[in-house]
Amino acid sequence: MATTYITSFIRIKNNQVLVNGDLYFETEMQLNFADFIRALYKHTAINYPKFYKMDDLSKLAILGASILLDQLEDSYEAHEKSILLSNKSASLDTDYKHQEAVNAGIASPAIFVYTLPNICIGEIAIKYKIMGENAFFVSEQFQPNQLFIATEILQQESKSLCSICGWVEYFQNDYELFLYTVEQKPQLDVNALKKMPIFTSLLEKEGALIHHPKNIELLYK
Amino acid sequence: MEDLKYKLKEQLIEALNLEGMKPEEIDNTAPLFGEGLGLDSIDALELIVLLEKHYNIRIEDPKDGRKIFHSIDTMAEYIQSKQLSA
Repeated sequence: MATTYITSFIRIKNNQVLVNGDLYFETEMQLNFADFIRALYKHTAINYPKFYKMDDLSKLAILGASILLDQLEDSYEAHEKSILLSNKSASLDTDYKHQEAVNAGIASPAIFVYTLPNICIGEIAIKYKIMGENAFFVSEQFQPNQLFIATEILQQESKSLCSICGWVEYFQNDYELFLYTVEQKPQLDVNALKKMPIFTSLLEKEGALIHHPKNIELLYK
Repeated sequence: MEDLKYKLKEQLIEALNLEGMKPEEIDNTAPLFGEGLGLDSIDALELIVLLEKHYNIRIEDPKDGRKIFHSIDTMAEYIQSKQLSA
């Protein structure tokens, strides 16, 4: 049975972006989501005009994944990479916008195409040419165990050697993203984690961040 | 006609979320799809909606779309011809 590791992670919340525990980006003042995500897009210098056409959930997911995947030594085949995401509100925010457009008389195709939460997985897959397994789970709260099991099935059956997992939630200006990568080799630069007391004993014991629900929970908190 | 083209460009930028683009930057003769603005199939549907919403023009035969949406010039000509025949 292959040992799997959490090899990088990212959190986006409250106008702040942390990558592997280090501050990557934050705004001086509290911005609404639209202004914040535009500022983050410009900061990342990712030239991807399609970004502006996406719904808010996909904007959050594509930037989170882009920043995360930049940390990765990507030597995988397209079919070896998988994406397993989850959230609470599915695509409800866009569903409302679609309903409003319908009520106003003419539905917008550009809004309608985002009325499924897993479209954000598709956006990541298109940009990064990921052709492996994918799934989107909807649950009231982030469930590390559920994602852990789903990821391990793919990893242990060798259906995936690199999994992008986590939580990407957006509803009416409230947002939260937590993504992490799972691989079969410990790539994570642990120096950043060593600054965080919560990980000190864990890293001393395991030498790397083992893929385990408790560790996922620790990173999420 | 020039006013219509300018207005059309403004509407196109808004409808297709062409962030940061100004009407002046869109060439009247440049292809909207492919090498031009790089629009896709969803954008094509949005353009159909745009014509219906702002000009009350419904494209009956989708095959006509390719010709109508070739450029700002062809769109403006189509709108004007429909308005004159109304």
